[in-house]
Amino acid sequence: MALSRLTRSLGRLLMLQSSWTYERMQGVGIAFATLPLLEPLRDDPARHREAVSRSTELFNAHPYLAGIAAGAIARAEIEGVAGPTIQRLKTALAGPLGSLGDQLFWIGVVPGVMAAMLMAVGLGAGWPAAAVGLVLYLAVRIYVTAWGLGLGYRTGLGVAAALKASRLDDQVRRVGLGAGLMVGLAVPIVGRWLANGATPGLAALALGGAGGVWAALVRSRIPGARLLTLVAMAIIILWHWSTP
Amino acid sequence: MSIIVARIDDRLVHGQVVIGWGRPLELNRIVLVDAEVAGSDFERDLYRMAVPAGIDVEFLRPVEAPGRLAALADGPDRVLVLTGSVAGMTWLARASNQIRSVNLGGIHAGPGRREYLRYVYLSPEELADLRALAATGVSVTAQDLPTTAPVSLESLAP
Repeated sequence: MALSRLTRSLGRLLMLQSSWTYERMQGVGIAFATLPLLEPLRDDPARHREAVSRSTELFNAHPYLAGIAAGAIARAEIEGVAGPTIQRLKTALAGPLGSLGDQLFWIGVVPGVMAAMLMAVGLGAGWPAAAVGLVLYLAVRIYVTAWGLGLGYRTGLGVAAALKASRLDDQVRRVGLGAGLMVGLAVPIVGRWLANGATPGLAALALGGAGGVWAALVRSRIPGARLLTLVAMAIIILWHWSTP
Repeated sequence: MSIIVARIDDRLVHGQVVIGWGRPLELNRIVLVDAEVAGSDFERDLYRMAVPAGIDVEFLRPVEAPGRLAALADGPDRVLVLTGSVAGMTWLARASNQIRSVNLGGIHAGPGRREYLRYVYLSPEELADLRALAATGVSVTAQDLPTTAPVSLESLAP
């Protein structure tokens, strides 16, 4: 039963941004995603109404990590935590989930997968590499959202301690370093491929992707990522020059 | 003067603050003045997670803040001071002589509030508080990110 509710909530979380407004940001989307999880409160209509109403209030975080908040809020409501405490939990989750999500995806997973796709294209894998990269990215995105929803729903008000114990911030750093490495490897390979004359469509894709990963790299605050990128570029360039 | 920005944002520590303002202004310390956060373990733990390497964050009760800001003003850190409410910042600006300008960064819809910008909603009491603060010589502007144009309180609510 709980699994069915979590699955429905996950499906709704995938559409979270569709109800974004300046007034409540993701508030309505979070409420929509939380509704299945709040079903155990339906026996007490007044409490259910109050919980649903509270879940529509202003909220904004990275959409892929927002499930952590949806799950934690629902668990706290079911456990009868005081309303003001739940509101403060929601506010306190927004910043970290936004910041960690931005670092994990926009300057980690996205540039890393893009670099891998471009590298595969540059090494001759062609268009199937782009499809594989897209599927890989979506798999990571759905897995992370499902993991977060489960974590929040299991822990409720204890979600801060659970997040600390999960070492998510360490994972974010590692993914950022991995992305830096992938970008460093990809840039010379793609550059060589472009210089050798690629088909116009793939060249445009590669140029767009290279621009995106460089923009993400410039934003990176992950210590060592930029240095790792430059070292990886240097290794590939030296390897290429030393190969007859 | 090392108090670079004094910001009112009801989302407290989040991406706009740590990345949007933190990186271009090279901030290395965020001082969050909020009695409830200062007294809550889980909230402090969560806000610490939002702050990337290179920026320290400290949590103060309002009564502790004026003395700490005076000490930071003479130090090497580039500091962003943050409160979640207009009342919190106007109190702090009066209690501390370190705040010369106030940034309205995110005050969202709520009961009795009216929209002035997409990210600034104010009640009549909050607007009167801000006007009174501006009358003491503190500059009050709305600006969500350093890349957007600041909007003065006078043009926001003539």
